Amino acid sequence: MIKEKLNEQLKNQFHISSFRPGQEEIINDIMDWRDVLAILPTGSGKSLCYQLPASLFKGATIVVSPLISLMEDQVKQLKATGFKAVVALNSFMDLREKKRVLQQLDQYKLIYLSPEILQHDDIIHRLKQMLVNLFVIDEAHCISQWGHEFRPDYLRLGDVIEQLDNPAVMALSATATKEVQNDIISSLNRPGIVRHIYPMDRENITFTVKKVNDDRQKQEMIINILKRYRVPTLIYFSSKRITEKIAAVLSKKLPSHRIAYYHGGMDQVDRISIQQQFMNDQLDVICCTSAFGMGINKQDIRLILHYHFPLQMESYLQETGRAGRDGKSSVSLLLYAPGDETLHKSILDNELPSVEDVNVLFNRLYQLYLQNPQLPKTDEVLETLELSEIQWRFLHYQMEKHGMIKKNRLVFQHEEWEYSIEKIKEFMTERSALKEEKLGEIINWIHDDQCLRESLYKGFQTGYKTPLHACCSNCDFSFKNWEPEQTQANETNSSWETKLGKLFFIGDYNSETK
Amino acid sequence: MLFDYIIMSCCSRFKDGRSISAVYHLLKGKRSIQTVQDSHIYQLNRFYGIYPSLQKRDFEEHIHQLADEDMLLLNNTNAAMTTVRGENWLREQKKHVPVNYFNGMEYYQKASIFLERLLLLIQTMTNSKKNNFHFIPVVDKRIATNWVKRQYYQTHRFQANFLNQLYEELYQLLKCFSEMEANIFVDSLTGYNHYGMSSFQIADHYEMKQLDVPLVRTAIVHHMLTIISRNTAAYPLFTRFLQDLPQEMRITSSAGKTKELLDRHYSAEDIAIMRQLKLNTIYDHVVEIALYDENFPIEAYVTAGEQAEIKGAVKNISSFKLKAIKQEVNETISYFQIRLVLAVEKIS
Repeated sequence: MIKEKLNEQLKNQFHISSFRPGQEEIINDIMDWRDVLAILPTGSGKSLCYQLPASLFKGATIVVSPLISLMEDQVKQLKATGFKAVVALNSFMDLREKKRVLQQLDQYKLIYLSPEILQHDDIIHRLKQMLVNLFVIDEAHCISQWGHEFRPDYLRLGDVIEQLDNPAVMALSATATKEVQNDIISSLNRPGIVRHIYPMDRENITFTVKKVNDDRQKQEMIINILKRYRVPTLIYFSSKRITEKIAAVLSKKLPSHRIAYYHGGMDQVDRISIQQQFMNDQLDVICCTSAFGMGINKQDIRLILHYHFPLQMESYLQETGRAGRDGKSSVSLLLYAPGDETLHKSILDNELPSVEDVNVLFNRLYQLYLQNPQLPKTDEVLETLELSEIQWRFLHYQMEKHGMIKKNRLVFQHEEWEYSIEKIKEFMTERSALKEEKLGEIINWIHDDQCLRESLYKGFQTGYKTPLHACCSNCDFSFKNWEPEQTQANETNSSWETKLGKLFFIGDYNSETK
Repeated sequence: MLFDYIIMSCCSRFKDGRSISAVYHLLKGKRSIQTVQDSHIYQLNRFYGIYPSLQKRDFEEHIHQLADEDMLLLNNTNAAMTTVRGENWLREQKKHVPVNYFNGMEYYQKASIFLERLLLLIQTMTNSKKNNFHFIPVVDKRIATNWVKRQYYQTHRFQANFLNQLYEELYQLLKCFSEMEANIFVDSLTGYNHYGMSSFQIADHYEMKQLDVPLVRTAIVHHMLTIISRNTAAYPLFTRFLQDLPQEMRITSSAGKTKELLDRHYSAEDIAIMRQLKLNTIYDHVVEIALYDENFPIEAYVTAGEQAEIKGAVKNISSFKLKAIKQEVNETISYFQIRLVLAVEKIS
């Protein structure tokens, strides 16, 4: 009975004929009000696991999502399929818009929001008046990855769930090691959660690493490969500036390819255009930061290049997992040059204030306290303390945790401060060590001379499926033998009159009347 | 290029009378009385609010670049004056830049709304012609989506005609532009299974600086709006779109309240007490009102003799610097009175 209903809804609302592995089991558990932790490989249709129940529930489903752009994409895609009762709430909305949405909030079936906005009193108050059936944490590894540092509101989700009268909970991720899974469960305080863990290895992706001497060689290598292969390609970078720079270099060197860049600093119209052009095969190559990809559902990405390697294995798996969703042979190539670590170390160093500076920082905070316990505006704090916003968010949360800040007022007690400062220092050392370890893991993997596939999946699962094509660059891969289907060039340089006519189907009209 | 040209033009008008931040605020369209008054008295109305997305960092970088190239001279009050070389460059480039297209004071808000509505309308109408209702909209601001929805429901019964009319008017309109301008505009359009180029792609394709792309787009739209409003009979559809645009805000709402009270014959001092605002704030409102009100009763604040004295001073020192003017006139004349005369006269 319920099975029929689910299948019917799958066809009518989502235009899908059958479930993919895992989806039905997970949905059944949710319909039976069980809490679920689901680890499903990228491209296996994770979002359907909550979208389908949401469309059937009487009340609302809340989805906590890490990125505004991701929320907006999901809302747009759902609306495009005809599921209109969806909305995204975020802290950047203007007040009038927020008020309007809040008033009508009970009319939505699916509400996407950030963990930060769940700390706003007005939002919680409104949600408490409504029936919430399901509470979803999408990309749940963020709890573990970011919660402890600059997005502490991820750690407060457990409290929020309790306040909402304990709806069913679903934590979703594509990549979570055992430790991360446990971290998620304990932070949500859901020991009885049902785990649905599916192997995440991708049998149609070949993993390759190429060591070169410097950036120039990286660029030459990329140009040579792209000259040979005109296939849908993503190139990942760690910095927005370099993303733009290399995109310009490649455009110049590869005039036959259609190349663009994408990063979080671009305005929304540009981001959507680039994404959709790529989806529509109007683009061959996108140079991007990690901001690109989550929620992108292009089936035939053939090549994933890493100009810079990611900060941890989890990110590498997510980024390469975007290749070959159609099951056809796809290749991931990571380029490494000696010294690449330095860029990453400096990224990591900048995420937290340095331990050596902590005493100076607290001295300045004490001076602020003497002037006025009420903390000034964030901008001013950042200037006084010479910290970045991320660093201050980390410190702010730590100080709150230790009772040094209450309701944005500094609370000073000499002995307790001394004790807390030591605790904070210890915690920082611990976090830095953990991140260094994560970075070490991926560096070791790059330099591994054994099978790359085996060592890649080791930390996540036992064993893996036999690859369908070449395995990895340490086993048997050579670009010589890789022959994917190439994109056909059809670019013609026409006049604006022709282009405009084409856009408005003017030629079509003539041929129809003939 | 276009961006540099506009910065240079502003500096050339401002001379040492205003700092470079005044140029920045002018291009961003800051709703402050100082900025609005600046654009009037220095005759820079056409550039007001033409670059709302401009970043301070990009702006400053260009100022310094122009200084390095010996086109601008930065002085210690943070004003930038054009050099002889800079003035020559301005004269040489004049033919190559579409600065005459701009009409910022008239269209600084309307232009982006018009463009966003047009982009979404074309995407919606071409997709629905092909019966595709599953597309991701390029624009999702309510001011555009609500309007497009209304157009769609009003016209979908005679959809083919509507689309043809839209095409015809757009074609006619684009004929008024250079080949390159028309190409840039058409390449930005999104239709059925086709997404328009982003700023980066336009810059790359036409070998332009990326910072110039939004400016060129704005220039094209301002010129389109001007053409449409002058030939309403030739553009019935676009004229209707134009009528749907919100009116540009003339005065701030706070100044509006002050005006109501002034009209009921309260003095500035009374109003300051009644509204619990500083007297200087009320003075700002009065200057703002004077800028837009053709029949502003300036005699109530500045006598004919004082007006003549202020105008004479401006002429003598050929500067709009308030401080310089103040030193030139009788010390009983206040800054408020000087600003008021400048506002009413809009002299240059």
